[in-house]
Amino acid sequence: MKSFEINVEDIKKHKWQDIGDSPTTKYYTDWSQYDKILNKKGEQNFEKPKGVFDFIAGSCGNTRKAYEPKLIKPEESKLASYHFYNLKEINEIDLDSGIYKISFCNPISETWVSQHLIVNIKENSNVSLLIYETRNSPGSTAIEINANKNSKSNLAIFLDPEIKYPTAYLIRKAIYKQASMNSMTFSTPTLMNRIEEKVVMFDNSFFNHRSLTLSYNNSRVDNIIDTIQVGNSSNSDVSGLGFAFDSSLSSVRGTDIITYDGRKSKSNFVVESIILGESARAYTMPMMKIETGDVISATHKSAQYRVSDEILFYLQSRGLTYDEIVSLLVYEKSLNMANHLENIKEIAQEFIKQKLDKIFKKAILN
Amino acid sequence: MGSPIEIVKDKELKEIVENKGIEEILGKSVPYPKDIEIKGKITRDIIEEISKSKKEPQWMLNLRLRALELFEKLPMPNWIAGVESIDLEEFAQYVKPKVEVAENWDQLPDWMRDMYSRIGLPETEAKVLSGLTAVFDSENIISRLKDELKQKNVIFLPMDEAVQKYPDLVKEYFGKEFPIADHKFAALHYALWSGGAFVYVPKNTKIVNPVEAFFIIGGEMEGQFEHTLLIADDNSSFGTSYIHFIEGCAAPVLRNYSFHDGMVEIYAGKNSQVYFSTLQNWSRSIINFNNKRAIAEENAHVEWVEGSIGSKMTYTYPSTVLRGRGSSTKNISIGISNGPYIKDVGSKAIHAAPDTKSMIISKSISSNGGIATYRGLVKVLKGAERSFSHVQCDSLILDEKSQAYTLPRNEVDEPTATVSHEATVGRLGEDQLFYMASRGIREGEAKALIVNGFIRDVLKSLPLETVSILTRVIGLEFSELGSVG
Repeated sequence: MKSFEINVEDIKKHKWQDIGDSPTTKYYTDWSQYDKILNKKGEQNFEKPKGVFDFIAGSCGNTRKAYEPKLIKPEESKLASYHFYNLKEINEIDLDSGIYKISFCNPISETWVSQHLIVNIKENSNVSLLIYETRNSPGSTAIEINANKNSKSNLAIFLDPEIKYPTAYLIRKAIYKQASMNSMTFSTPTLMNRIEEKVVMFDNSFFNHRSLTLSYNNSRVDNIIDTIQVGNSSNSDVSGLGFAFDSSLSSVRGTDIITYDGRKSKSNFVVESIILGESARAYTMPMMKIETGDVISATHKSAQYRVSDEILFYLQSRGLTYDEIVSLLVYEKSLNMANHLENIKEIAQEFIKQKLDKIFKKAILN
Repeated sequence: MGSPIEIVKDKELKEIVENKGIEEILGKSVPYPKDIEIKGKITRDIIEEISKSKKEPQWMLNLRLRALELFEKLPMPNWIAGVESIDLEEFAQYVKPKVEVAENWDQLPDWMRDMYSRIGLPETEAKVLSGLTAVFDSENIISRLKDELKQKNVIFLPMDEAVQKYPDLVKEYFGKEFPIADHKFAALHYALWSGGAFVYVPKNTKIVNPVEAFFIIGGEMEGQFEHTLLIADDNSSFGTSYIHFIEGCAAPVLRNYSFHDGMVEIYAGKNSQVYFSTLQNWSRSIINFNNKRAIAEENAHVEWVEGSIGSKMTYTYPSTVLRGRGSSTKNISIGISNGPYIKDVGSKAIHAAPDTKSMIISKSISSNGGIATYRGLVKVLKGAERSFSHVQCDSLILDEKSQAYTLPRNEVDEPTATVSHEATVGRLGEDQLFYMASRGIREGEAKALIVNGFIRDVLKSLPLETVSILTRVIGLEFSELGSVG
């Protein structure tokens, strides 16, 4: 019995985006791609993922079922409503100290498939976690991570959907008192790939996060990273990096909020979009809302650029071609995004490298 | 004459701290005689009446009526807080004070002359300005131009007068820089505009001293919709000289609010340089909505300076469209939100040609529950090769209750462009206050010192006249900070 029944009429009341005519907010997500798919009917099959995993979420898997989402509410947006409307089950796991590999079942369908996983990292535990999501269907995947009191975690999420479908990811994290998390999200592109990452931080928590997205083959990625510091003396260091190849679009944005209760907190938020295609587009929107004067520091930065002429000239004078220089830059910056992941750093870097090898055909760093 | 920074240094802190607030200078609003006051639902009849009273050509009436249609169709802007409380039918859309247009200050009635004297405008005009026009409510009440500019064939007139005297020139540029349909309040402005300044600087002309327009809203529940159009023809400045326009605003304390919906359009021809400074020090009774846009042609430079100090709410985002190759813009804003007031300020730079540059610097200070927001856009269009933009936003929050928001947007459609953005939010450290207290500096003075230091690097880059006026205006605000401590 689902406790998250959604009435389709209620969904229609929502707009895709509430803020429409703002001078500084625009539709970076192409919502029309979702409209085309969402009401499509058809067969849905699920395949077991390839490889060895401690847990597999979904109808082909071994996790327990849950009946209540914790960090996402259906009414929070039209996208969330549709996610729950199409959702068959919520999967949940509790983790003690250890290293875990988790995957979702691989949906195969031409219709919208929703998946949902809740991970609870137990109090005082030390967890390293790799979550893989591969899909051959359009749809949404929600991942909720609860890092409970005094826990320490390293987390890598790898999103590798089939490029031809529109997809949406709803990633939510809660980092409770005195918990700390190093995390990374990596995603390959789709026709329209919206990745919403939202973290809520409580007293004395620490969050060090990197988000890496690629857009190529005329794809479109809208990566939104929101950090909400509601606890005293919390500390966040968040950055997002997007690469836009060919005629693709890379949007990296988000809001860092320190609420009145988040006094004595600290935050650093950096977003970068690197333009590598002649017709590529790069958008950044690093927003900051500081609701108390009692902060240790709050900074943000953003940049959009390509390989500078100086670097090009220097490296070309040493015999490298333009393509080699670009791939060097992409590999270097991408692999660095996993540097903070401690004991799962190498696994994360290897995964990223394999995906980049596919783009650049060969691995020049070997 | 020393550098701007030396002048700031020389300013005695005591003088700044002990200066009076604008409320104290202008006092409370007092009744004054009015010739015309138009209130009620904004209708075609009202628009036609305003146009007729100004003896406008048919094209201007048509423009107003088109704007009215758009105003009725466009939704209220939903990106900003507070505007929903404005009842557009409640206030007077047009107010003409009972006063003859004067050629010199002595011709003004005593009560009005006294108001300008308290602000120090006649003195400023005599000392540093090439020209001045003052708008009271909806009408220009005095305009003065020095011989220096007359000899150079510079046109400096109240906007209404320019429509009659130079209809073809005005028609070519009016409403072209800032589209009527941009948003609801832009349409409202075009439907109701009255007063303002028109400046035309002929080709190859320099203006050494600045010109100024000063706006006062005298009563409550009034709307002021002045329009300023500045045309700098090709090569109208070169070397180290430039055209500098200063805009000042003030209002006495009102029991209820009044609404300001002004507009500035700038056309900067090839190789011209235009500096536009706004020193906004409305009383806390004013909701201030400002619309400012410039177009910069080849190698032109447009610089906006926005000193946004007073008002209940201010929404202003000066914008430049860099249309010509090699054109550039700089936007400097200093916003102080002292008390439960909103400053929503920012900037837009649209790079539409190769080798264009933009620099946006924002300094905001929030105190006593104030909310200071930076909201901006840098857009680089495809083909604007080698464009460069940098945005720097710094916020200083002086207490726990105050807030600072930074909402930038950067959109780059050109692979050879470089766009960067940096922002910091800092607080007033207890250690800093303690250190100064131990040296006998009381909290109010200490805050003033810190704020002064916070904006000093920005002041360094401003024109001398702007620094002089801005430091005084900020000083007025600091006096309130001083009293807080």
